[in-house]
Amino acid sequence: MKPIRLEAELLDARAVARQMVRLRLRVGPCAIRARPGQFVMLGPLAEGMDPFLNRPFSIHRLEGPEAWELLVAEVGRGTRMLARLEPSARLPVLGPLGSGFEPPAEGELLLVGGGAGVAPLFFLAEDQLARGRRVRLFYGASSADRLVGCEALAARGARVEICTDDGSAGFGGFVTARLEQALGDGSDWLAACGPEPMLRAVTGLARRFGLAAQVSLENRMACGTGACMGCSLLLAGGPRRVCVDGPVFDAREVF
Amino acid sequence: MVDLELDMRARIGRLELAKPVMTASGTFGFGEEYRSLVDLGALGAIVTKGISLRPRAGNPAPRIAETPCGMLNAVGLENPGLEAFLRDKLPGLREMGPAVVVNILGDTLEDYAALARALDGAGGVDALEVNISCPNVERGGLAFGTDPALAAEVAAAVRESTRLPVLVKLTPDVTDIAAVARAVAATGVDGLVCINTLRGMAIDPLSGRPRLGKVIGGLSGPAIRPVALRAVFEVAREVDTAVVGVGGIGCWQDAVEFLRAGAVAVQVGCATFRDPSAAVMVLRGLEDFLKGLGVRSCSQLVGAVEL
Ligand SMILES: Cc1cc2nc3c(=O)[nH]c(=O)nc-3n(C[C@H](O)[C@H](O)[C@H](O)COP(=O)(O)OP(=O)(O)OC[C@H]3O[C@@H](n4cnc5c(N)ncnc54)[C@H](O)[C@@H]3O)c2cc1C
Ligand SMILES: Cc1cc2nc3c(=O)[nH]c(=O)nc-3n(C[C@H](O)[C@H](O)[C@H](O)COP(=O)(O)O)c2cc1C
Ligand code: FES
Repeated sequence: MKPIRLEAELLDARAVARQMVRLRLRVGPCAIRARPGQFVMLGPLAEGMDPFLNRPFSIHRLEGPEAWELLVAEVGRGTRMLARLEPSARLPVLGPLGSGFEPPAEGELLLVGGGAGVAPLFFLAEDQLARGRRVRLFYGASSADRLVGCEALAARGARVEICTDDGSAGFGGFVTARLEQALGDGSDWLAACGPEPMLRAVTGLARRFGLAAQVSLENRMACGTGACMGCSLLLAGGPRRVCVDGPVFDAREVF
Repeated sequence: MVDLELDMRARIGRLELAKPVMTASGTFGFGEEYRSLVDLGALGAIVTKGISLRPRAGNPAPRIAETPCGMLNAVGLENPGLEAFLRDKLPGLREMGPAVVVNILGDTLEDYAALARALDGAGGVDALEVNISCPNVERGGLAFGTDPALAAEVAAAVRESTRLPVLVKLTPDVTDIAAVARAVAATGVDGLVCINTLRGMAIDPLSGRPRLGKVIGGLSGPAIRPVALRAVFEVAREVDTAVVGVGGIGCWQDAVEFLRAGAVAVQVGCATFRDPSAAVMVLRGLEDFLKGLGVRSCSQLVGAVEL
């Protein structure tokens, strides 16, 4: 669907892990038109001109027919402001924006998420589980207190493989190390979102094991609609705007 | 009763706009990016992203950095080039309603002239805006805009290569913007657009890395509004050529400031990133304000500053 701009109502802002908040936004009937992998621009975040730019966030989950959930890691000024919002606050939203994931029609789906990068993979996982697909999520976080939503996703039927850098939960080590052990068992597609080094490593593994891979990228954004060329990356095939040509790209195009 | 309809037309030399509010180059793509979001037809003109003869890939990321009340950009004129613009973008732009102003950028005088010739014959282009003030490219751009004689040479080259109205966009990064304006105005162009971005930079204090891939970029937004207003004021006082104001305009009050300083029309730039409808809101607010004032035409406000 074409993006629209609206005043969303904040239904709920809840701390779900250390420095991670989940925002539940009522956006109306357009909610269900979003596709997994798409994102929104939130803002202006305050009255006045600071912070000046709106902030991009993936759609984390659909919540009922009229609401989107966002998973926000507090990393700077804007995200801290979002974390402190009170329910019933109004927040301008532009979306849904960008391309979505394109999973194949058959086979188990491997999803690889790191940190807040796991956000769009929940939407993808739940969407695919509802269609009867098998989903396996490799979820990496720095420590156990940064993990969100694992039980709920497992309860919906996903296999969730937790990895923590400090070993405080699940596999101790990078998510890519755990992924490497599991590859080669027949899956032929994966989707990944997270820090660039992780995406690079995942792409390397996908190449080695012959999997098709889609990666969701981040970049600084101003407009979110393809107008400013501010988020372009100079890829082998030429400049590509993350906000409209992505954020989901074929991994081979990027790395 | 006589109908005292408010006359919002703006005359920029030979270019007449139905409304005095345009989108600024580089902040509104080619219009199509905002088609589903903005009442495009309300606008006076859409100014395109800067077009060069050949496609340009632009600068490495990051190209954007947020700064106090504004932003830095170092996009580096990424654009599809003249040929693809004419084929893929211009037909859509023509249909949108507002006047079509094509922003052009060259490495050499001959590039500017060639762009002007090609766009003259294209049909559906209402005016050219000559960018001699881009801080984000190695050659051309700013190099022309900071020297009055060179600036005038580019203006004359474009002027002689097209029958279309020509606007020239000036940089604030000079000691004496009035001197550049005088030289350019003497070539007989239709309008002077003040201002392009100011050169600026930002460094991440922890990593020590510049926040822009290109290190230095252009500053825009409310942070530069006083500089832009001063430039409009100095230029409008100096030349008879029409002046268009741009820089940090985000609401109708800002537009009124620029009209009072001497601009006959304004452009809305990165305010669009905060609210896609910013330019339309500026226009509507301006109309309401003028109606409230009881004036008959927008032009009555131009230069109305009490000194
Ligand atoms: C398509 C996309 C989807 C995203 N989805 C999520 C998500 O679901 N959850 C989440 O927590 N974060 C997500 N991010 C990252 C999120 O946008 C940034 O963490 C956020 O903008 C930081 O804002 P701040 O004011 O707290 O940080 P500051 O550092 O104060 O921000 C300063 C400027 O840098 C920009 N910026 C800072 N970090 C990033 C980044 N990693 N990516 C892009 N711009 C950045 C900000 O937007 C702002 O313009 C996403 C980014 C993109 C591009
Ligand atoms: C992302 C971005 C891209 C721009 N690209 C161009 C361009 O291609 N040509 C040009 O003449 N000006 C360009 N500009 C400058 C704007 O048109 C305008 O002069 C400047 O941003 C000041 O106005 P503002 O504060 O309202 O944004 C660009 C500005 C931004 C923010
Ligand atoms: S953020 Fe403006 S083009 Fe992508």
